[in-house]
Amino acid sequence: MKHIFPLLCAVALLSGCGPAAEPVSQSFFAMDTPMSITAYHRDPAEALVAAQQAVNRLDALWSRTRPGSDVTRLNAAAGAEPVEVDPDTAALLEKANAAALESEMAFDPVLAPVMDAWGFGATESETTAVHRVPDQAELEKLLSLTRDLPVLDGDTVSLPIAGQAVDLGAIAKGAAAADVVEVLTAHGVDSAVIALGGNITALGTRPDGSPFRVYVRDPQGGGEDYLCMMSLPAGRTCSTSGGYERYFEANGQTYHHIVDPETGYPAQSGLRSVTVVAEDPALADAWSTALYVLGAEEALTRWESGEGTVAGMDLILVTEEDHVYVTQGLEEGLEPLGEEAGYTYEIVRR
Amino acid sequence: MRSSAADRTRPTPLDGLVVLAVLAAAAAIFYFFRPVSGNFLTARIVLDNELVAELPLSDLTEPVTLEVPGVRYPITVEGENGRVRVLHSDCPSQDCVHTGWVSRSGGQIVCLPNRLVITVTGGAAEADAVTG
Repeated sequence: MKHIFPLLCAVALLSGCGPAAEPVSQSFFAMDTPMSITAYHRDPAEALVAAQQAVNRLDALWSRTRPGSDVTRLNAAAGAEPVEVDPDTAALLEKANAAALESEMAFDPVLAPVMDAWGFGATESETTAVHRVPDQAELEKLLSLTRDLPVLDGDTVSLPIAGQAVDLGAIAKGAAAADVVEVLTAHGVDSAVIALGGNITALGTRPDGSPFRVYVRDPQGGGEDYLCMMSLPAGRTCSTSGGYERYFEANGQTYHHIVDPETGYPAQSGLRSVTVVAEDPALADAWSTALYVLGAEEALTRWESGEGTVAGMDLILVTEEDHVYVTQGLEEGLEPLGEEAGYTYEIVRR
Repeated sequence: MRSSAADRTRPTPLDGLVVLAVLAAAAAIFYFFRPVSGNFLTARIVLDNELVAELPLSDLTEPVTLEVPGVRYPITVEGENGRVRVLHSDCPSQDCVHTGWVSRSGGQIVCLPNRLVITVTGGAAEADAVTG
């Protein structure tokens, strides 16, 4: 009888050998970008469908091109009357306004008229977009429509000047990730990677407890060239902005899609790309754009100061001299992959 | 006289050894039969949220081309042993063509105008996602 004990031990051990939950992925298009959610769970089908529905709901609220969306109605009523919006829209506008003010308007949610002039505006027209270089007089006229942020009163919003337009494209995908996390968690999923058009959110860790791993694209490379691989801690989102993502060429010049709200021209801050890792996915999204406009020096000054939103984030800044600044929080698990391509890496500490 | 195991009331060191041996064997079985996500690379071609084709990249001994059915802008995908690319596309942006070959698990080719995504899966996944 005593020898049953080891047998029981073995059975107990083997029963723990059931196949680890295989990841299940759901890919879809929303907010004019490919998205995918990969969940580690016994049966995540229902959770994934609910997550996709959550994104679609926000897309319907925040699209600039869909008739009847909150943003479409708000823009149509610019300079005229306040518009009642969904509480989620009001909350996002509030967050966008705060990021705009803290970044000293390097992120401007009402830059749309200028973006449209370059052909980088409402993305539904991207396939037929007419990219052109607007002349100075036109830009100055359009710049007068920017910077005056939406005015909120509860869930009622107004745009002060006729002709103004809100575009939440640089913050909406991040904000959607927060909803996806909420929906997945409510369905019992505690391990998933959420990729909403280049914004990656880690819900928990891999099933073995190790952090999810993310490639950062080489801003000068092809489809399989990566700047580095990094660990994305549980609950964090990384977001990347770079001029290489969308651009056009005219008269031998390259014009990219991240427009500096100060000049109305594509930002010339000396950066090739900015990756931000933050707890709030919407802020990761908005600040990757803002820091690209502000440049490496300002970004690092803000980070090193220990105060403000940027100080609570981690950054990867790639300069035009191919120097890569990585803040200390990302050092563990960082795997540089661009040394052969000429990149040099530096860990920034404070 | 030594008593037989059946007569003893307390486990002996030998029992302990048996326990250890069984545990070790179980651990070995666990290790050797762990799910191997293997070396088998597949390219999944998803058009407008629907899986339209899968190319078994690891099985290909010679290049194959595939005209993706039902697209807005005609697009030709080429697969060969271990990698895949968009050979030709009539789309306006040509981003998908410029991406070139993709051979790593987790790698993606996107043709936004066509709402087409090609994802390489299987193999030893190095990363869970790509940013940028």
